[in-house]
Amino acid sequence: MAEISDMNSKSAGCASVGIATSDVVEWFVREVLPLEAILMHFLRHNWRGSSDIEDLRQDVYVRVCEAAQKQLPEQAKPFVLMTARNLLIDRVRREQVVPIEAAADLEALGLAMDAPGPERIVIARDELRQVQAALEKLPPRAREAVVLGRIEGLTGREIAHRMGIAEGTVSEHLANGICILADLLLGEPSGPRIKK
Amino acid sequence: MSGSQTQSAPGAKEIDARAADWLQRREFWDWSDADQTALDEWLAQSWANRVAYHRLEAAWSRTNRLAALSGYKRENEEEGGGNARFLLRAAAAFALVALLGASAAVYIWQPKAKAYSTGTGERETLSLPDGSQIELNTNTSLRILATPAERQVWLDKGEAYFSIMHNPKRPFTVWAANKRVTDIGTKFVVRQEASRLELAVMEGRVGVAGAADAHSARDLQLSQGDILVATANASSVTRKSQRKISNDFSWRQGMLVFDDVPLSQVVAEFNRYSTEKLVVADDAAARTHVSATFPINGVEDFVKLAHRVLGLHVEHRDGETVISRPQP
Repeated sequence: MAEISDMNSKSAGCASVGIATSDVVEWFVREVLPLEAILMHFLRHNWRGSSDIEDLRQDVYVRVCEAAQKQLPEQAKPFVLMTARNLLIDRVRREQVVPIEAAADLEALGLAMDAPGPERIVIARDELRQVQAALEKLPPRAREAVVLGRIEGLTGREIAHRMGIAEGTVSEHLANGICILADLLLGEPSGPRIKK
Repeated sequence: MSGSQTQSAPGAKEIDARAADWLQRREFWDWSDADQTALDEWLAQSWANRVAYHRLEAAWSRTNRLAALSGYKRENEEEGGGNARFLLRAAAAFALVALLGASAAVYIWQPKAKAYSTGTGERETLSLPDGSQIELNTNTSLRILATPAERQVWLDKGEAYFSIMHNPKRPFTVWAANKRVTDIGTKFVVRQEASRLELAVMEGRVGVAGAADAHSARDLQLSQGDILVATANASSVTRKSQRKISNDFSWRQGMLVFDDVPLSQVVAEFNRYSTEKLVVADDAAARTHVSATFPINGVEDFVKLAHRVLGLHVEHRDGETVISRPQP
């Protein structure tokens, strides 16, 4: 009836069983997502191939999660950056038509990974202000829909009524707003400088 | 790195758009069990889908704080900067005072409220005429006032699970630790200890007013998986997986489920349900991590296993059971 285990004894290094998907997701949200600004900086800085940065980011996340399903890495940051580095190397090989600098840069990645950089994501003291700033950057209609939904607490139907537009259009604005907010809140360094 | 080559078949942008559509549907439109099933199936298809969805969800949950910005639009239109902001703050503070005042007034005027309570180790389920259910955990007191216009519960102490039949014409409100929790079609758990409030949403959405984050009359909106911890002057919202949440509230099934938690926490939990208290004597013992499942009244099983499996020292003295780590 009661199973018990003493986790106090140092390394909990039992790699035999797979990690539950929900645990991987939780780890991903808790440990990996806060690194997104660092990851994006890393990718932008080191990649000049043709793939979209967003595709690379997604591939890194997928690889990281697949690996974490076997065993959760002890430290997320080196693991994420190592995965990104390996992905870039794979891409360089695959795309073949990569400008030479990209390949040259890859050599230096070992250093880049440890450089302190503008990273060190400090959870913004005043996160509210950060969220507000992100909101200001949304396209007007998307912002209006998000404000009505999130701040005024309206439902989708009520937003459609208030804005005088079709419900399907409201959905598009909301979805668009959600995507842009995520890029702004996760992908940009939390300082005042926000690049386009 | 070996292993699966990730083909970026549908581009990240397409998957993001799809994930964002799911999220906005769940947040702003009617959401049925069938919708949830469809979403779960979509998520189960690939890590690309999961990653996209949970990434957006995590970012989106940070905009929860926007609920504190009820004056956002006015503030913006005026372009007024500091002054307008100050006035808004002042107005919000006033609204909060008014709110607390109202709650005090309601508190005094409660002629028909019925009181229910459980003793240590007891649990009780109340079924209301409207089909709603309230489960009282150990050592809990609450009062219920139901009128044709509204349903109100005051949680005076302890912890209760609410499964509410939503009726917009007859709102359901829980008062706890000076906060007002309003149901928007929901299952949730409220726990009050001293002036600390803990609220976990298991299904649907709830609004919370008076949570310190918002010096605002506007409700903080919480949805499934959100956990709010609020004291008199601070509050935070986190999100937990379904499994973690069901562990936390396994008391409803008469069980206590611990997943890699320190012994100190296990003992604190058992002590809620028993008059014979457990005491952890030293830090080394307190820090021992435990993963286990016990029946809620299984304190003796726990003590036995602490001794036999964890090798801890157990001593009964003065009606207390003292657990310690033997000195080497």
